[in-house]
This record gives sequence, structure tokens and C-alpha cells, in this order.
Amino acid sequence: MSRVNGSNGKVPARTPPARLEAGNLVVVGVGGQGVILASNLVSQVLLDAGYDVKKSEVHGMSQRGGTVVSHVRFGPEVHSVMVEPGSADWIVAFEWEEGLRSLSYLKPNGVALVSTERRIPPAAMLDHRDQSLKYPALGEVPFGVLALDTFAVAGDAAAAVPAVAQTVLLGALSVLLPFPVEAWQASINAWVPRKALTGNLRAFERGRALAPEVRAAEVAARTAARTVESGPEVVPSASASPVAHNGAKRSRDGVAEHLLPVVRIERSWCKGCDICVAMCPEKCLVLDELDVAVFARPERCTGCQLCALLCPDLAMDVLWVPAGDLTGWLFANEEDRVRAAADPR
Amino acid sequence: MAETTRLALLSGNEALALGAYHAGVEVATGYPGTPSTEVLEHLVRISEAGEVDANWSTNEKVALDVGIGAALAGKRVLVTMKHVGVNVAMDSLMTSAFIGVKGGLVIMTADDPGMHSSQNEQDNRYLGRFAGIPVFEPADSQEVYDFVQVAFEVSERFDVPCLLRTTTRTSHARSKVEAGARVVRAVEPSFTRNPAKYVMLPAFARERHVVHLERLEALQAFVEEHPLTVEELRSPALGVVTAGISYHHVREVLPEASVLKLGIEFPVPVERIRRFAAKVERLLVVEELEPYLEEEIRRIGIAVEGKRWFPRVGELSAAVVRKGFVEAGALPAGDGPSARPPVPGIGNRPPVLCPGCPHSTPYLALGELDAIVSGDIGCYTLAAAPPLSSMDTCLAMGSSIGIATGLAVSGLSKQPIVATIGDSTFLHGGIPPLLDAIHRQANMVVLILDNGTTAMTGGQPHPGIAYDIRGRAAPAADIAAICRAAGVTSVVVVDPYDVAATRRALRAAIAHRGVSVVVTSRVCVESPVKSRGPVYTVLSDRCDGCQACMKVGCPAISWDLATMSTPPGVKIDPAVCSGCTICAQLCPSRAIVSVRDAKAGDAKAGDAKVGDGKVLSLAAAPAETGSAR
Repeated sequence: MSRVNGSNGKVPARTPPARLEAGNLVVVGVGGQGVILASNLVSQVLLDAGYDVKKSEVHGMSQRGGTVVSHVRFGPEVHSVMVEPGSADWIVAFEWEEGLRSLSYLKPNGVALVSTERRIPPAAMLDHRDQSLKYPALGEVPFGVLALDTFAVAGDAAAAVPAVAQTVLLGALSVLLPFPVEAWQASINAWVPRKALTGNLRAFERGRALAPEVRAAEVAARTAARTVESGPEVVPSASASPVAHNGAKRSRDGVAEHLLPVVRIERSWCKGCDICVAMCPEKCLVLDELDVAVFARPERCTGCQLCALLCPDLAMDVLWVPAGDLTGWLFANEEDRVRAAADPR
Repeated sequence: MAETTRLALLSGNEALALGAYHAGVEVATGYPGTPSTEVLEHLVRISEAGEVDANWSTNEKVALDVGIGAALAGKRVLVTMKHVGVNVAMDSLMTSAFIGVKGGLVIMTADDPGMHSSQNEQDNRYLGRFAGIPVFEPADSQEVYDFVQVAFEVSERFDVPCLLRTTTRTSHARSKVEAGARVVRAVEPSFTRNPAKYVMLPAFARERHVVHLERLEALQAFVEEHPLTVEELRSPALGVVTAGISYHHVREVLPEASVLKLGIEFPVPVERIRRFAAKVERLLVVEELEPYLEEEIRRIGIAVEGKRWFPRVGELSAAVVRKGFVEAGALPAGDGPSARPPVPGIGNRPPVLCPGCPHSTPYLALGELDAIVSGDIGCYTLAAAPPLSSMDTCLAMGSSIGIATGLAVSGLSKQPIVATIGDSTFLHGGIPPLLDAIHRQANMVVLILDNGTTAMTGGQPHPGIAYDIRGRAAPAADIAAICRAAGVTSVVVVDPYDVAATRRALRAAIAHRGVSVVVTSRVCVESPVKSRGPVYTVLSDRCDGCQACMKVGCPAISWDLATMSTPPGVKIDPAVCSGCTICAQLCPSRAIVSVRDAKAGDAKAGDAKVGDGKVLSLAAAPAETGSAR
């Protein structure tokens, strides 16, 4: 359920310090995950403990599925509202990629509690040609990170409201902060909507029950930070293959990776019905001045074969050809047309 | 009054609302714009309708005019807007100091250094100086609360509107606030005729200009001794002049430096600065954006360094200020924390249109029609980004129609020319350019994306909505009727959830000569209530990975990671899907069906509905308020 980088499995019996002088917390996630609510909840605990607290986040466009980052700073007197890169004692991340992105905020010996929940943005899938996914693999866990499968930890606590699962992270965070469990419960009571209260309290408890793992992560981060000189060597042991890839790139027809799709059109069979032009998801096809379909934008074609399947006259098929010049692959009378129609757009 | 804030931490915007409320504000208005929007919303939460007349205005100029009128009647008035909104209000603002006020008038300008949610990062201290009105700039929520009350007093004492400038980090950051109580002002509204002061005929205006300049001298003397300018003497080696949020960055990074913190930035307390400069060996200015204070200080002949070390672009942070001090030699190199290098393989996560956003299909259709699209300000500006990639210009509120008119009259004939504008933006600034386009007989389409709210800023009502900021019923303007009355002969209203009908309407509008209007009418999925219908799913045996659905850019649709090693397919995240049916209508393989149909094994039912291009009804009906128009 949880993986710690650098943990040797031994759990030291250690209690947090009685009083923290000051601290910096960064809470991150994706719009709609409850990042702001969570940082309000932690701020309440800190205020009740008598600290000066400042909290900052950018709303703006974050509700449109963008990144949400909330900074919480506390101490006897807080000035700047933002946590400087490299100075967060703790990071709580509700989403895997956002957790990794936020590591630039983490102190060398800081601890990041990162959910393995993945919210893959449309922007990670924009390359329709190779159907790849630009998103970090769950693979290896960077230094200082405790990766938590929050849904697995929360179990039935999050059954009714899935978003409740992330409260596990607050339970885990509570292990690292010297405040009584009652303070956290009171804050949850004050901040969470009634209908999700029970689930949140249980998810919090389950996160707090991860105390051995969380403490191990803290010790591991401290130990490793001491052994590594501060500076660029504090590199997260990034995954060997950080970009998850749609493994079977073009494997459906047993076609190797370096092949590209080409739509071959028998011009004499095309009557210009416009169906392929209208239906092509990537708008690869146009009608020329003779109302005959032309494969005008080869660079966009994903090889989905919709045009060939929909053509009422069976005038087209999709070939997989080696990358490079299309010469020799198209019908002879079509090659000039493709070149003529080639549109830089 | 109900105190709704549970956290003792107030955002700057909440503190501004509370400060104005406690100062006895009785009329409040504005136009939504990040980061200013929450002020009016919070004021409504903490006040009763009988205490404060709060309402959104059609645009910022209207808001300021309403504010001036109420101030002339003796009320204390708060007007809120974002920095670029002040440009809209500028016509009235420039002469407002001539007319003056009776009740206090405070205008909030929420600047956005770093452009978190704006088209530029103009520094509105210059606009206050240009209009000749006092400019206040608080540094945190407590100061926002305190300064707004001072601003009301100054406004009444000097018979002048006051500008209260916040930035994103003062508006949206939360910190502790010690607050007092509301002062009830027993002021009966009254209006005294005084044409020489209130009617800006040239003859009267010439006299008022003299009064205005005399007032500036009085304000200068007032500001020089005002306690909002705070001198903190520490080390004499370095003195820093600063204001607003920058003050806290300086204190964070260089706690031993002497600081002169300005609370009022126009008029600039130059004598205080002169006295401070004499006490320190080296003088620096740390300010966000423009070298406003730096220029003022240099103008009075004092050696000062500022933008030489600190950037003029973007917002300041402790890290940026630290870097500037290091470069200036005030801090040793290598000072401060060092950050880890980024983890490789992390992509961007730009904001996207929500799942089920009714704006997506019109832009999808426009992309297919290869139109030149003149866009505007709103959620739909995101259609400029891939995969929709269907916006070619976006300048300022309401500019879409005028820019499209310019493109159209320039004789561009190869591609259709389409202006796209949201309902709130259309009412804000789209009507005058529409009249212009009609009068010029420009050949273009105006696409009005009517989602029944001001969505980008979180769903505020506007004059086209049948309720107001307090949720009370209000008369609603009919956008299609406005277009017809303006002289548009072809006005079509279409449901953007019907993909085929949207395409047809746009094709027909493009074919029409002259100005034609298409109104896509469908209430926003997020506001005023979240619309959720039956969730949709992908029948993986039918999906052939053509990616037609991915053209929408819906965040619910992604590659099915479980089938990565088999023919690639997509999946729909049921927790994110809104049930809008758009992807189902686009799927050529009919692989996308409602979960209900998929469970029942009755995929054919889904086929029939999708196949004939009809829109499935939504189980959760949109709010009455949105569809009542």
C-alpha cells in the first residue's frame, strides 16, 4: 500500500518534538480534489495551536482542471505568503504527477506524502500520431517521497465519496506534526461537509495508522539528506522510464514502430461524396478541384482506418509504410496531388 | 449579520469586504474579474440586503458611474474590478476627481502581476496618478481591512474617489485579521443641485480642474505625515523603499535592512523618502512590475536602485527578491535554500474546459470549418489551446466583434470570419461593436456562447440572468432579442449539446451574407448548479482508437491504461464524466454508450439515440434560473 524510498524497513520508536518553531507546508493537487479545503483544515489546527499562519494559493484558472498549489506557512511571525523552492518541510500531494512536480519546493530532508492517484490531463495525450502518454510512471519513488495508494488505504471509508480517500494523507501528515489527534478531529469537524464527515474521520484514522511507514520515511529522508552533500546531487532517483508509453505502438496489425500510416486512394473510384473528409478525426483528407479525395495532411494521420471503413466505393485503404518519402506507396496519379495539396497547417 | 468565516484567516478580498462593511458601506458594485471577484461575494455573505445594496454591474464603467451616483447621494460606496477593468472605467475615472464625491467612494483595483488569470499585467498605480486620485496599497489582510477604512475617510475629507490597489497575493492570500464592528452611518440619501460641480461643461470643468490641482497639493501635505507610511530603522547600510506584498518579501529575505514602507503610493510622500534616504548609506526600491516609486524617487534627485536588480515582469516572491539582493551585492551569493532539479517526464497541466462544457462543440465545429476565429475573454479562451486550437485572436473584453469586423471589411474572403463571445462579455462590451458591424454590413458570424453565467470567474449573474447576486429574482435581458433589435436578420439559437445541429447552424450562418448571429444556449455545467447526467462508458470491443472523442479535450477521456498492450482504446473516468453525450455523438464506431445501456447489454439503445444526432436528456436538469430565460 505504501512504498518508501530509502527505507530499510526498521521503524524507530520516535515521537515528534513537543513544539515546532515554524514550518512550511505545500499542498498540491488538481482542481476539484479538495486541496484548498485540506489546507484550510491544516491551517485551523495551526491557528488553534497559537501560530501566526499565512496561506496562499492561486485560484484563477485552477478550477479548469489545472494545478492547484496551496502554501501554508506558520511560525511566531510569518512574512512572505509563499513557500520558497527548497524550503518546504512537508508536501501533501493528492495526485501523483503534481506530487512529483512540487518536489522543487521540498527541503533536502523534507517529506512528501504523495497519493498514487493519477489524473492524466488531455495535454498528456496530444500527440495523436504515436498515441503516447506524457505522464510520469509510478515506477520508482523519488527520494524523500512516501507514495501512498490512498484509495487502498481508505478502503470503504471512501466508498460513498471517492474524494475522501485523500484525507488519508492528512492522517499521515498528522504523524509528523506535534498536535493531538483531537485538534485534527475538531478541524475536520469544523471544515468537512456533514455528509462526508464520517468517511473523512475514518480515512484520517487510517492515514494516521500508517505512523510506522510515515516515521520511517521521515528518518530515511533525514538520513539520506545527511549523507548527500546539499546541492545538485540531491537528485531524485527518477524512474528509468519516466514516460509511460502506450506499449503496443501500432501493434494491432503486427506493424513495427517505425512504420507510419498512409491513406491510399484510387482516384478513379472516388465520386467525391465527402464522407471521408467529414469523418476523418484528424482532418487529413480534402477534396481537390475535381471533387476527388486527397490525402493532404499525412503528418496528422493516426491510421484509424475510419475513411477506408466508411468509403462507400471502397476507394481507399490504409497502408503502413516506413517513415520518409511516400513515393512508391501511393498510386502514381495520386502522388502529385498529395504534394500539391500539402498544407503547412 | 452572520459571521460566516470559520477560519480566523481572512483572504485579502474577504478582509476588504469586511473592512468596507465595518466602514459603513451601503452601496457596492463591480464587474467580476480575477482576483477581485470574491470581495462583492463575501460582502453579500456578511451583510443583509437592507444594509448594503450590492449588485454586479454590466461592466466596470457602469459600475463606477453607479458608484459615483450613489456617492453623490451621500452613501459610502465600494466599487470592485480587476486591473484591466479599470481601463473600461477610465473614461469616468479621469473626470471623477473633478466632480468629487459626497459619501466616500473607494475603487478596488485588483492587479495581477504574473498574469495568473489576465491578458496583461499593467501597473494601476499609474492610472491612479493619471486620474489624480489617492492610491492605497496594503500588504496583507489586516492592512486591507484597515486601509479601506482609512480610504473612505480620505475620500470624504478630500472630496475625491480613492483607489485601493491589491495584487493577486494580497487578494488571495489568507492571514489573521483583528476586526472591529460596523459603524452605522445615519445618512439619509440626499442630492443637492450643484451644476458647477456636477455638470462637467467646459466652463465648469475649467474651474474644477483648478480645484483638483489645489486638492492634490493638500493631499501631498497630508500624505507626507500620514501614519500609513512606516519607517523601520535597522541597519544603516541598506535602506529599502517598498510597498504592498513586496514589503513582506523584503522582510523575509533581508530582515536586518532598514525599510520605508509606503501605504499610500499616490501622492508619493517624497519628503519622507528624502528623510529616510538621508539615514541610510544605500537606497533600493523593491516593487512589483513597473519602476513607479523608483522614477518618483529619482525625479526628486535621490540616487536609488530598483529595476536594475529586480524584474519588471511577473510577480515577486521571496526567491526572486533574494536573487535581486544577491545580484545587488546586499546578500552573499548562494544565500537561501536550493531547490531540487525537476523530476523528468512531467508534462504540462494547462487549464482545460470542464467535462461537458457547452463551449467545446461550437469550437470543434469552427475548427472543422477552417474559420478565422476572433475570440474574447472567458472560459472559452481556452479553446485557443490544443486539441480544439480554434481561436486566432483574443485581446480585451468585447474586442472579438470589432476585430472580426476589421478582418471582414479588409476583404479576407477565403475563410469564414467568426467572432466568438460569451453572454456576460457580450453584454459587457459586445453590443456597440455589433451595431457597428451591422451598420458596416460586414460579412461575418457572431457566435454568442450563452451559458447563463459569468463562468470564468466562478459563476456570477449578469443582466441577462433572472436572478441577482443575492439570489433574488431580477429582470433578464434576452440576448437573441437584443441582436434582432440591433438589426441582425439571421439570429439562430441552438443547443450546443446537439453536435449536428450546432454544425448545421454554423454552416448556415457562414453562408448568410452580412452579419449573422448564432447563440449556443446551454447552461454552464458547473454553475449555478453542477449538472450531472448518466455517466458514459466505452465499449472496448468497438473502440478502434480513432481519437475522434479526444478532439474535444474532455478531461474525462484518456487512454485506457489497462489495454495499453492491446489495440489502443480510450476510457471515460466515471468520476469526472458529466454525461453531456458530446463524445458519444462524435464516436464513429458508436463505442460510447451510457453506463446504464452498457450494463443492460442494450448497446443498441445507445446506438439509436446517438446515431440520429439527437441529444439525450440529462437526468439532472439544469437549474431553473439558468434555463428560465
